[in-house]
Amino acid sequence: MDRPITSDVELVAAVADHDLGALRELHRRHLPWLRARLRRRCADPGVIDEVLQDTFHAVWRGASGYDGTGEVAAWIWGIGIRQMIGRLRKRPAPIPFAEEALAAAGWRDAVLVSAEDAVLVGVEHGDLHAALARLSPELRAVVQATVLDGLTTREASRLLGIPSGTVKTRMQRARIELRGALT
Amino acid sequence: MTTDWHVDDRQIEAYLADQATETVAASVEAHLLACARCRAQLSARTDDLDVDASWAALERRIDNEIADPVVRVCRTLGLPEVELRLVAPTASLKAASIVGAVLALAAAALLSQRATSTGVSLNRLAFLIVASLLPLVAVVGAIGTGSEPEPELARGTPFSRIRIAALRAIVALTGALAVGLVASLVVGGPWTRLSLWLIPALSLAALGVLGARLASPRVVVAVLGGAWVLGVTLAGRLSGDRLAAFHLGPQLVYLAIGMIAVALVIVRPSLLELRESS
Amino acid sequence: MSEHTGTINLHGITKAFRARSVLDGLDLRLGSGVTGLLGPNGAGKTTLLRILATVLRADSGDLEVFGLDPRRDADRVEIRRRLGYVPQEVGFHDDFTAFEFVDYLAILKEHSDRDARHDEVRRVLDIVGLVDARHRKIRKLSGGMRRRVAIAQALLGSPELLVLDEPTAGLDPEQRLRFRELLSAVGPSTTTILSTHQTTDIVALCQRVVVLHGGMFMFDGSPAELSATAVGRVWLSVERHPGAHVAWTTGDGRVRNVGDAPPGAELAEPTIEDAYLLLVGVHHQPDAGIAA
Repeated sequence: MDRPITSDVELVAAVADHDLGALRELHRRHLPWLRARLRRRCADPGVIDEVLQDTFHAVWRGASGYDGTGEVAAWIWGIGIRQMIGRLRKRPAPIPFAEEALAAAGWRDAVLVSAEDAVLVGVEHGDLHAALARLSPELRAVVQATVLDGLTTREASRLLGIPSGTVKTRMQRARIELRGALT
Repeated sequence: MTTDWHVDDRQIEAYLADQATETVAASVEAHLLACARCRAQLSARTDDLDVDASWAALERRIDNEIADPVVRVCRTLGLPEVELRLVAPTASLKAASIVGAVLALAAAALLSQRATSTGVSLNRLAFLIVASLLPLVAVVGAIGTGSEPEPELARGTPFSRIRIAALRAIVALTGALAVGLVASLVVGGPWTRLSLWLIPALSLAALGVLGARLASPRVVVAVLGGAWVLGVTLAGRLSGDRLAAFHLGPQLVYLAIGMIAVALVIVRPSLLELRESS
Repeated sequence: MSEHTGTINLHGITKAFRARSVLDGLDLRLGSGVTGLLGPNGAGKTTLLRILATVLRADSGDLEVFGLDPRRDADRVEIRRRLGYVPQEVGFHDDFTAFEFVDYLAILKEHSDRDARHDEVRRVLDIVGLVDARHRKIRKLSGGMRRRVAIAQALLGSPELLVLDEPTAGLDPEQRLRFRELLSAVGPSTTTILSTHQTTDIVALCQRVVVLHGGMFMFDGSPAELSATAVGRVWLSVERHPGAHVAWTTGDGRVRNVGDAPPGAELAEPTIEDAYLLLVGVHHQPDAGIAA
């Protein structure tokens, strides 16, 4: 089947028009990396399979909700990680979580850009590599969940099984350490 | 994002094997979100069979979904799917008419509560007439011409037309009776009692089943409904009692007529078959 | 019923609508393979096919399908289990998607187990090339796609008999080619009867062609035999010949005449279309090709 190369954005538009073939193509392109990424955050392959199903099902149902800006992969990741948190949420919660989402937008962008910079210059030699490597595992996990996975405090607390207050304080500490290391 | 840097094979291997350091993994992940080339690189190292199996499961799940919310709820409640699917195309058409009936009943009820005169007001009579006509309209609509979404094709299939018609008639009748009952309860008052309108309603519906074989739903409803309204009005005029048609004597007559109609259908179930268009 | 040499045996079938005779005593035996039913509009093609599909009863005559008698309730149900039918026009319930439509028909064809039924629905939609479009509403599909949806439901359960009333109407040339492919894929043991206005369909698809005109069969034989009936009755000339039933100027500027050739005429190789024109007569519609 020689499909002319269609962009992800065009595929999402076709899915919104109930084109199952477009969904199949999106699924084929994005399932492997998404599965690999989710595997690093959940040990149960059964749960991951379900999350993957739910994610592409949500893509099918919600394709018209994609606004056409930004990477389709990032949009799918946003759906996928939230589906996983949704699964974890069904388990008993460690403690009630705070309602407030992490709103320090400027701060977040700063770290995110730094992470992308690290990619640009190559991971091995980046400053961020060293900075992240120096963080304690607890702080690193929080940075990964909030900065790299794009989760809110509340979602991160679900994923990591720690109170959202702890997420916030660890984030503060990580931020200070990273700022110090990067400047 | 334009970049000359891409994830190399070694890093992908390490990442997939969960042997990459956390920072390498983080960089790989951030890069993958923005780079189709490296995503394809990663895909090439994963098992196609897994993707195919996952797709097959997703496809089945999507195909299993039912758009009609009523049917979806009913299936979740454990009602048999085949029967639901046979009733659904008709039932969704009927939903609108049921809503209309509810509105009519509500209006009748409102009017009758406002009536202050003693004795039986015209509004109360209106309630009884509407409640007794409701099952007729629903049943005839459910089995008459136009009730089958694909008449020409359906006729060439082995599924029993009688079974389908019976199914649709029962669902429509149940729905109509439920609406009437609820309205009776909401409105209250002795004159709304089920015992007054139930027998005429059932008899009219039974006659409607016979009629649906002979004429289009509209004609059947117009003829039977018209005759009923006319009869009730005349009986009221002649006796001076508006509710005369709902007294015990007439009720026994309706019962007899209804039972004859039901007996006919039981003896000759083919009466339930859809009328041929040509 | 003792010996059934074919899938379908017709004997003396008649049908009239309001005293107007549509079918006038038809005899026909059909076996496996593809048979084309050719005839002008109003010739009774649809009526005949509806009778074969058991959706219409003949007024008189005998009909046997698979050696069964459609007048008997149990036999009729059994015939319908082994039959696929594409009517001339399909109503299509407003809200159905292609999948829901075919699935609904599959339920009516007694595929009660959901998983197996859905597998079958996907299979037939794949055959007509609509597996990717299956969740779109039918009312949003093009005419050619709708036609393919109608064909898909006829393939459910791989029936032994396919009754197709103008299956290629509304299909563009490419889709028509795909239809030919799928028809060759249903297997030689299937009995297929299809009506069409396209003589090219007949040549490409049918081992046998039956011409129906005025409620009677005018011809029954192979497409080559049909063409052969016009040998010596097609000729080329510079100007339209007054004795021709029909004549037209072809691409090279010469006139192709169909009718009784004058002596010494430059005869041409007849096509199935020439033969068809001669059979059904075109006196009433000069200049017409085959009525669309």
